[in-house]
Amino acid sequence: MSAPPPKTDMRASGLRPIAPPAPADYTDEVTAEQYEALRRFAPQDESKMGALVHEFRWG
Amino acid sequence: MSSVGVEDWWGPGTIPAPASIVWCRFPHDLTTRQPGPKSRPGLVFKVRYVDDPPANRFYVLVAYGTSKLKSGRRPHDFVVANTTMMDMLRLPQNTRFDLDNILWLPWAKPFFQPRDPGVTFSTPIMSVLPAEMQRVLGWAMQRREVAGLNGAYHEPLPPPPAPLEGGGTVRSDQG
Repeated sequence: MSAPPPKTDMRASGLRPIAPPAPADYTDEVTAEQYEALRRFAPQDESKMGALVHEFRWG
Repeated sequence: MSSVGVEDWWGPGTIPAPASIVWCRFPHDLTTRQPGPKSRPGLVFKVRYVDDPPANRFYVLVAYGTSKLKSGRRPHDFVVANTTMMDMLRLPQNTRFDLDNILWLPWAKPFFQPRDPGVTFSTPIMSVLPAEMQRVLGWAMQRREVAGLNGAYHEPLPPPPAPLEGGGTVRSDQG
């Protein structure tokens, strides 16, 4: 009795290395002034927004 | 929103999944209606509708990325510094996501722009953390939770129940 032939896991093909991304410079950090300006502009209170679409969960 | 030119919303077919990495190019000066000078990676935690009832406009909760790692000085941030993982995630540099500085931003231009706007159908989404990395991020968030650092990720608590004259309380969902 012979063993069944091995099968290739094709899902692994999606993990092959790809070319490195193009360089980008984001060495700086967002300043406190920039954060403050953005907070003033965009609402940060979830209770004043629409329904949740999805979220990252932990715990 | 329209006061700074955010009419150009990304559509419902483009919203980022949780733990997506997106190109975030937010303005330094909101009065100029011009995008910021550079794009940087952002890590997506939540997506909400802008409107109630829902329409095709969305807010995204992002943590901003920087290549200034500050090794050893930011133990509660999330860092991607493995070269292979950087390639898989399309990150051009070692990247630290500052989990203390998160913002809700409109899922719209100029806040979010693709790296190469000239490519047809390109969106600001760079990649999504693979499942194993999402577990690591989850552990990092749990550690932050224990340290009491995750207040900005949670919705504000409902107001406390009103006290009754007899010493009891009335729950808000009881009318």
